[in-house]
Amino acid sequence: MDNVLVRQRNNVKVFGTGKQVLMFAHGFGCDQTMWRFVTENMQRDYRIVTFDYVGSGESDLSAFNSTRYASLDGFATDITDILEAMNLTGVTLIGHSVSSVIGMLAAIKTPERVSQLVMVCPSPYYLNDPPHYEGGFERDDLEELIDLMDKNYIGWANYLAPLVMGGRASTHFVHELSGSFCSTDPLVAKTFAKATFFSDYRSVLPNCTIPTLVLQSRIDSLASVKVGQYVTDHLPNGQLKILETEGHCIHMTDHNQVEAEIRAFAPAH
Amino acid sequence: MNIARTPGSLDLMPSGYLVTDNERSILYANRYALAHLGHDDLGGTPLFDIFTLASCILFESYIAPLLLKEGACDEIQLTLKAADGSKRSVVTNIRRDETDNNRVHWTFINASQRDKLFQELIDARNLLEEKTRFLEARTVTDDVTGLPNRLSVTQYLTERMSNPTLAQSQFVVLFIDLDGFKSINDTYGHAVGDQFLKAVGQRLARSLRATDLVARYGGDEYVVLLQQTADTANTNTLMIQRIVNQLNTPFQINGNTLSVSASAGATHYPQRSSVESEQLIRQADQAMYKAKLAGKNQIRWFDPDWENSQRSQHELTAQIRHGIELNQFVLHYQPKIDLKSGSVIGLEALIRWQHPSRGLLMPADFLIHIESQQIELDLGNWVIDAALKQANQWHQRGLLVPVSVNVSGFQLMDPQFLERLTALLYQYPNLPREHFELELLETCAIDDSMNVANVIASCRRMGLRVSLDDFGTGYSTLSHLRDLAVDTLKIDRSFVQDMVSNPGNIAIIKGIIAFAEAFNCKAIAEGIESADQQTALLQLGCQTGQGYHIARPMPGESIEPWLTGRHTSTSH
Repeated sequence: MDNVLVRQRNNVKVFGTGKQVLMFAHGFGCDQTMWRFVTENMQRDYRIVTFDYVGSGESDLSAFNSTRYASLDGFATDITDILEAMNLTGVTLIGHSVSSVIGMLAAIKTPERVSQLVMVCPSPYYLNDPPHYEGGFERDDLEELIDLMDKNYIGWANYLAPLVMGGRASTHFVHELSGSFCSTDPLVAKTFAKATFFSDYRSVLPNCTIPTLVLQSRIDSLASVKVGQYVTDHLPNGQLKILETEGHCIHMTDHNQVEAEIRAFAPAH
Repeated sequence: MNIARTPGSLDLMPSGYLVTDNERSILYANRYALAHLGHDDLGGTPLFDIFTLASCILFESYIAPLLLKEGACDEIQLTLKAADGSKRSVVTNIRRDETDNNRVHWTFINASQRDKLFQELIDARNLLEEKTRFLEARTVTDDVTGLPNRLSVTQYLTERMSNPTLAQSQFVVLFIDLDGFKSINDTYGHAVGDQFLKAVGQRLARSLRATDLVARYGGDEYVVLLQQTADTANTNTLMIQRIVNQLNTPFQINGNTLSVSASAGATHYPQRSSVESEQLIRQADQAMYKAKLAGKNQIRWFDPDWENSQRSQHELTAQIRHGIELNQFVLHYQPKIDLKSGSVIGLEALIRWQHPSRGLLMPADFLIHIESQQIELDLGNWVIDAALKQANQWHQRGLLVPVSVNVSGFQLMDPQFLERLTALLYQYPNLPREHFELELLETCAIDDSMNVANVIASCRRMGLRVSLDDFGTGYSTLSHLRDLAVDTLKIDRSFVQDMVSNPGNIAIIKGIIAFAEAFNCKAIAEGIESADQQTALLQLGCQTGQGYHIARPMPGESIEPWLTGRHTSTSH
């Protein structure tokens, strides 16, 4: 795809000075500004690329396609599109939460462009799969999440709109909701949530051969240490680093530690 | 500030109020919050202990980043867990206080009413979706069978033929019409009839491949689109045969065993010249009609030449209509006699067309081209009218000889037949009804026997006579004959013509005479062309007959002179 078009579509931002390229991928629910705590200092030593997935932040919502983004592959294609459009190589790709998996998929697709991966609080599968895997959730929990999302994200009047409009999502109302941090179009948010929480990417882990750092929070209700351990165990070239903190958004709450780990993993020379 | 030890006004708040520290532990819960969640104390409890897992995810992925970035978050619906494990739906407003160790202040109100409204919204949406689907389905689906309807299949065909990719593909349009469905409806009622139509649709659908389509076109008609493989026309015919034959296996409907056969017409796409979708269906329909005419329960392929002949038929129809107006049609009468005494027992009216350019035309020249069309009814009506008029004239002049007319099956099945006949008879109140006779082809009486039998019975109740023409060439069963109570069986000319040399025909004639006796009706021989035949018929017990040997059909005005001459010749 055309460089300018891709950069507009994904609201790509490039800043910082340095040879080493760090590309940051945001997680479900928010946008690239999540990374500003980490990138604030790092931009002095690295060339930094941040972006919004189509449907998030200030991306071009009209490019959203519920078929393409029904699986994480569609989101991974956003990343590879950007890498290709900007002709980036040797990139260290840092993904938070679901973007850990999306980043892994992108790295497998374009090994010539992604040389290292950092997974921040990853989970390849959120559901419990006894006896050997504890994703942390039962299906009912995740159904309730989708229900809560319906109740929170959806303007009630808009709830009937797609039907009244004959099933075609109106770009008008999609745009109305865009722009504000973390608020997302209902269709986009639900599609992203379903792709995130109901897919099982455990079997893909062994295909990711590049050096990978797994950053794990000691207490994380979304992705437990067990899940972090599982990911590391199944990556051919993975290393686990547990941060003594609590919460899932450690790149915001504990950005100094996260920054230090990234610097150690991908030195600026 | 130590909220945990600040009692008073916060406990009077009619909404929940919580304070959490930046480690997500609860520092304070007001009285409403405690009561709402069924706790005595929540101090020191981890926030996530009162959150469902779904709320935890929402917090981590949505609320926490928002609080970090903007410090506030409004009107978020969450599910809390009460002490007894039950769930409480709440709406919260949240503030982070940067100046006080990033403590977070929560207010919440009960959202159960909101949940109820939301559920109603969901129900309304589901209902709307269901109705929308129903309405969409209705416009394209046939109510009785659930198959695509006429509109739908025509649209599908049009779209398919205009799609540049699909338009290259070859397919066959099959038009299927059930034989004898009407009697199922008449005998078992429409409810069973509808179930039967549905069962036929299901059976057709089951016999098709995924690439094929079946639709109910209307009444007992189905249209099938068959994707054509690289196979030959012969394979196509076999495939169609297989589909149509499926219908020959009896159906079990409500404990009734019901049987039909089907007549089918087929046409190909693409064709040499461009065709429209509706034209394709019409072609298949016409071919089906040919299958019906050919005796039903068979398949006919559409023949483009036939379509051309149809065009000329339109011209023929116009000419006949014109001919009726200009009195170009006349009736000739052929006498029927008592073979022994020679006395005239009846006169059969036969139509002739005095065509302005082609001369005098026999029925075979034009009647077969207008079979089963309105013009056939109009002409048939004209014949009855003209024959009644002539019979009435003769009657007034003292010539007391019954006159018969030929009535086609299509005419007899016309719902207005009896009404028209009655109206015509009323015009001649003095003409004894038994002096008028209807001659029906045996073949036309076979289909739909119950209804034909009813019409015949009505005619006989009016006092008219009814005979079965060309008897022996159809396939009447004995039970069929029993239902068709008629006055006379007319032995077909084909048996008479070579009876002298063909012993098999003699056996048939004997059989028909015995039939007639058994069913208490008369037998009359047609096509007597020699004295030998007349003698032989008499010997077999056939008392009456007609044919060239006796007299050729002649114009009405020639009858009286003929009778007079005959009377003279026989009395001398």
